[in-house]
Amino acid sequence: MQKTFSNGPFIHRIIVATSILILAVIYFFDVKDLKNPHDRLLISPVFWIMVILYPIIIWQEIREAKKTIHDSEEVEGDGDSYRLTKKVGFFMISVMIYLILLNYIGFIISTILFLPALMWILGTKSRLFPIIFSIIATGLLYLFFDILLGIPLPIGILIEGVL
Amino acid sequence: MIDWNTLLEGISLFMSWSNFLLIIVGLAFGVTLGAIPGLTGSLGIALMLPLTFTMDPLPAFVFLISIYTGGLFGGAITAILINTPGSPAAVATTLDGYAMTKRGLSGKALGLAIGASSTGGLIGAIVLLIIIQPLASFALKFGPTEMFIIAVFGLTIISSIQEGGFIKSIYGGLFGILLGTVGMTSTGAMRGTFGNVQLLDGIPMIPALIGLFAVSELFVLADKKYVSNKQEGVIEQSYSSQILSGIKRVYKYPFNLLRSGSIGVFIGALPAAGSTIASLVSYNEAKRFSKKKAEFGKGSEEGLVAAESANNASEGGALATMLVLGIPGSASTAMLLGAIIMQGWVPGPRLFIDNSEVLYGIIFSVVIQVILLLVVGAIIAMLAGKIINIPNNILVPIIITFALIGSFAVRNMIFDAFLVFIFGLIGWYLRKNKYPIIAVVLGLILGPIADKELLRSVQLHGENTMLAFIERPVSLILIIITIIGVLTPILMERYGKKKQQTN
Repeated sequence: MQKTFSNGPFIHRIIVATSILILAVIYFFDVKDLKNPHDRLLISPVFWIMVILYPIIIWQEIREAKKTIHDSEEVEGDGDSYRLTKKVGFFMISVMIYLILLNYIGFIISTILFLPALMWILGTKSRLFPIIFSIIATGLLYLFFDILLGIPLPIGILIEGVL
Repeated sequence: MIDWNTLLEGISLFMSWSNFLLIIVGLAFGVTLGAIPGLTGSLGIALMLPLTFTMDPLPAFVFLISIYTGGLFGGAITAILINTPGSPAAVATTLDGYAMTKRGLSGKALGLAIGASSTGGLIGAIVLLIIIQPLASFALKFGPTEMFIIAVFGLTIISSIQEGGFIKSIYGGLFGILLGTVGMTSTGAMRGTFGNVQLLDGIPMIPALIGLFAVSELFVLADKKYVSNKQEGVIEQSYSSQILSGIKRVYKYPFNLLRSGSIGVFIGALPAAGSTIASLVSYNEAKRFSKKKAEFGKGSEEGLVAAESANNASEGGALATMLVLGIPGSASTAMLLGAIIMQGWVPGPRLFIDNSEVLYGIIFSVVIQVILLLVVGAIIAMLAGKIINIPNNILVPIIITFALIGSFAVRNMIFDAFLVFIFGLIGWYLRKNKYPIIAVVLGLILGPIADKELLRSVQLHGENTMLAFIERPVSLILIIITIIGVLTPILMERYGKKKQQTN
C-alpha cells in the first residue's frame, strides 16, 4: 500500500482539541469572576476534567500518527467525503452570503437567488430548471410559513425601508 | 387503579365519528410539523389552540393531544431520512435510523419507527389509564438531587460511544456541557454571552441540533449524488412493503419494547425531564442489554426501536403529571395546560376528581390515537420516503433553506439561522476529525438540566448537599443504578475478551 500519511489530519485533530480547550479557557475565565460561586458549580469541575484530558488526547493523536507512518496505512476518517472540496467550499460561502442577503433584501428575493446558485454549484447542468424550481419552491415556502402557519419571514432591512 | 364505571362513561363520551376524524387530522398535522426541522408538535398545538376555544372539552383535547402524539413520531421521519432530528427527542433515532438509510433500508427504518412509536405510545396510554394517580404522585418525590442524577445517568451514554474513542467522546461531551450552560443563570448572572442579548436564554437548542446534525451532513452529502449509497435513483423493493416489514419486525423485540416503554413512561412523568431524556436513556439501556452491541450506531434495529418506543411512551407519563398534578413537563404539555385553563377548568389534583369521565375519555382517545398512528404515520412516511430518490443537487438546497428558515421561525431571529450555519461548520469539522457529534449534543441537552438541578440542590441543602445525595433513598438508588450502568458494559467487555482468549 502506498504511504499516504501527511501532517494534514494530525494537525487538524490537534487544532480541534486545542480550539475546544481555548474556548473552554475563555469561558472559564468569563465565569471565574462571577460573585456567586453557585453559578460555576458544574462549570469548574467540567473545565478541569477537560484540562486533564487535553494532554491525553494530544498523546493519543501523536501515537496514532506515528502508528500510521509505521504501518503505512491510509488515515481513517479522512476519506474523500470529509475533504473540503471546491464544491463544499463554495456551498459554505453561498450559505454565508444567503444569510447576509436574507437580512438585507428579505426571504423572497434572496431565496430566489440562492436556490439556483446552489443548484449550479452542486452540479445541476440545466440553466432553466433551477430558476423555475427556485421560484416555485420560494412561493411554496412562503405560503407554508407566512400564510399557513402565520410565521412572518424576513422582509429585509432594505425592502422594509422602501415599503 | 381504574374506576371501570367512569372509564366506560368516558369511552361512551368519546365514541363519535367526529372524534375519530379529529384524531386523523390532528395526527397528520402533528406528524407533518414534527417532520420539518425547526417545527415541533408544540408549535402545532399553539397554532390550533385558538380553534379549540369554541369546542367542547373532550373533542378539543382529543384534537390537541393527537397533534402532540403525531409530533412525537414526526421527528423520526427526517431523523431517519436525512439525519435531521425533527425535534430534540429524535436525536437518538438518528444514530441508527440514518445509518439504515445509508444502507438503502430507509423504508424498513421508517416502519420500525412507526411500529415502535405506536407500541411505545400504547404502553404509555395503558399505564396512564391504570396508574395515573400513583405514578404522578411518585414522580413528585423527585427533587433536584434526583433530577441531577437522572441527567448524569443520561450523560453516561457518552461512555459507550465507539466513534472516535472513549477520551474524545468524553472531551466532546464536556464541551457540549459547557456550551449548554451559556446564558443567564437562575441567580441572574451572565455566563459566556459576551454581551450578546440573543444568548441570554442560552444557546437555542433547535438551531444547534439542526446545525450539528443536518447542516454538517449536507456539507458531506454535497459531494455525493444521492443520500443512500445503495440506490442510485431506483428503489428495488416496493417502499410500502419495506415499511410494512419494518412495522412487523418491531414485535421481534418484545422485551426491548416493554423496557423502553416503561423507561419512557417513568421519565416522561418527571417534570422537565421529557421525551428527549427518555429516548436517550432507553437507547443506552437497550445497548447495555443487547447481545449485538457493536451494531449500535451502525443501523441497529434494537437501538431504533428503543429510542422511538420510549419517545412516544413518555407522552403517557407527561400527561399523567399534567392531568393529575397540573405540572407541565414540556412545552407541549404547558400548551395543553393552557387549553385546560381556557376551557374554564382548574389544573391540579381536583381536575381528575371533578372531570373524571371526560379525562378517562381523553386517555382512551390516546389509545385510539397510537393505533391510528400506524396508518397515518405509514402513509406520511411513504410520501416522505421519496425524498431520498431526489438527487442531492436538488435535495440539499431545499433542505438547507428549510433548515435555515425553520430555525429562524422558532424565535423570528436571523441570529438563529446564523447559529445553524456556525454549528454546521463545527459539526462538519468535528466529524472530519473523528469527534462524535452525538457526545456534544448530549452535553448540550443534558448539561443545562444537570447544571440547573445541581444549583437547586445546593440552594436547598446548602452544605449538606453531598449528604442529601446519599441520604435520600430515591437519589441513592439512582446513583447505584448509574454506577452499575457505567461499569457493567466495561466488565462485560473484559469478561467477553477473557472468554474469547480461553476458547
